[in-house]
Amino acid sequence: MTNSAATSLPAGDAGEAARTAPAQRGGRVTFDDVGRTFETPDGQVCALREVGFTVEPGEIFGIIGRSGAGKSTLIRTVNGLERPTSGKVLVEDARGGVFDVGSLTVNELTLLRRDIGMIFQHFNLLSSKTVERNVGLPLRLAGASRADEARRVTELLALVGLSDKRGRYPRELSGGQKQRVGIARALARDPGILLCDEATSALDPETTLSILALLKDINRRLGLTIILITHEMEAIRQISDRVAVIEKGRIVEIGPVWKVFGDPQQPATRALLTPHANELPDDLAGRIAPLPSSDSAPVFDIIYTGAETGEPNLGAVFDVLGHDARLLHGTLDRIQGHAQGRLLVAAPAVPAHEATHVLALLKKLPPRAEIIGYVSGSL
Amino acid sequence: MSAALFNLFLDAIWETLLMVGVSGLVTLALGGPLAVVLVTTAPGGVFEAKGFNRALGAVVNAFRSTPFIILLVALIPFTRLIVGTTIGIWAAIVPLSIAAIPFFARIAEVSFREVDRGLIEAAQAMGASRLQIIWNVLVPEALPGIVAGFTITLVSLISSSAMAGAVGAGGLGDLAIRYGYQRFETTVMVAVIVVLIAIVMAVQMTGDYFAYRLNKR
Repeated sequence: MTNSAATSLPAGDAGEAARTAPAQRGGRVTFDDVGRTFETPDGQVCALREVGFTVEPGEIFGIIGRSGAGKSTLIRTVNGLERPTSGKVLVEDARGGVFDVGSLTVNELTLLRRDIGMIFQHFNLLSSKTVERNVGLPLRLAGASRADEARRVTELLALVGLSDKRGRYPRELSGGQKQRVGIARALARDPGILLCDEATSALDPETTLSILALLKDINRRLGLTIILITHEMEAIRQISDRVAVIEKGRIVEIGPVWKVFGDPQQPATRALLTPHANELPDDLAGRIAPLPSSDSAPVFDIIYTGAETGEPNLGAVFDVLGHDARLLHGTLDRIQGHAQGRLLVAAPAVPAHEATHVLALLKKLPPRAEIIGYVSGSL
Repeated sequence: MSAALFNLFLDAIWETLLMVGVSGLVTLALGGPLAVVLVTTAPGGVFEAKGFNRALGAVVNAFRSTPFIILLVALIPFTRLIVGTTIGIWAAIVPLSIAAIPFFARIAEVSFREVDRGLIEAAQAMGASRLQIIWNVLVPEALPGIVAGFTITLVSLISSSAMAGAVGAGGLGDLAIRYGYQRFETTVMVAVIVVLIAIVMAVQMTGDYFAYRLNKR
């Protein structure tokens, strides 16, 4: 529905009418050895170095990193709000046109930006304009008529579920509603790419989920490419297809979300994951000793990274550990259809001197496993 | 108060309103754009030009720091060039405007500067040209502050216009000095003060009303 509307708009950009199926709408973004340094009074600061990867059309691509890691700079190179000091950012639209963002003239950049929507952490809505006028702003800037603007705004507000807020001012809206206005505004000119700059970081957890669901829905229905940067695991976990971890301006890890989250290779990734990793509960941690004693049982830390075929096989685990094995602690989660988690199991039937042998058997299952210590006392 | 004096009084009110009204409009028309230039050429502005901005800022400050009564006299050759005379109401309007323009520009500049940078970035991201950013983002967002600032400017123009008697422009201030002070007509003095208070209050209340209505923040 949004597509037919786009074609009825005045051809502010010549190829607008050429778009047909939503499925082919998303743009492709290629970062080719991108670097960005800033001159500061304290010398050069390197915000990005040797960043190279491609975001495919229709994909939801997450970029996660701590604050100051360079993710804001990175996402801003896509629409030219930041220019790389080395390397190239190539944006390919659905019609096959390729733009080298860093080398565009002001006018070309304006045209490119009309095909790239952006939403922000603090929404950045005009406080002096109603919802309707905010959403219609990109259309007015491109010279759409009042009638076209009104029609498109009606569709967009329906899409984000805010049809009843048309005449309200941003201050009358909740944070989630403001971000919905931001999303409607970003989609006004039917872009092929949507950039999300910490779009849910200012929202409460529940609203975050609803905004993420809306983004996912938009991605499915309109087929546009979404690039989101965040420091929140949740935003990536919920909707992203692939994720890149950025640390000190470098991409340190990249891949499908389940893979990067289930089996993080880099300290930076693990640090970001830590709040979600299951720490040992205090009472349990206090009972686990590094060395065996006469009445202690080895504790096996069994990790499911999501790379295993099939679901975790508990029977096989207990065959190895013995049937009086006790589950001390554990979590299991599904990301993109992959079961991931960690089980802490004490095995009183395994004598201390056989523990390493049993561990080797366990590893053939093939969960990843460690012996993290020995627990004594009654189980 | 005699009938003749009363007519002088009415004339003086009209002269004050005319002087303040016309120089106010000129100030709005020239000071507003000046504020836009000051804020957009400043570091980080959409038309960033540091050297130009510093030079312009220095000129603005020079006018701001000159006492009005001196400006009134110093500008006589310029006034003659613009309005063809150096006495009367129109001769006062020129220096009044020249004094008020930088004053208003600085106040409006503050309102423009308070517009969230994120809004400008959002407009850039949606492909707005720099002029579109000024017109669609900076001006509407800064408007409540600008209206409040213009109100202050008008009040300060009313007070400056009292000195316009020095170039024979008349007005309430002139009446108060010549009749109220120099001829000891206390009634005139009191009447002038009462009318000035009424005008200032009317201006301030109108300004506050519009600033409040425009503020959607």
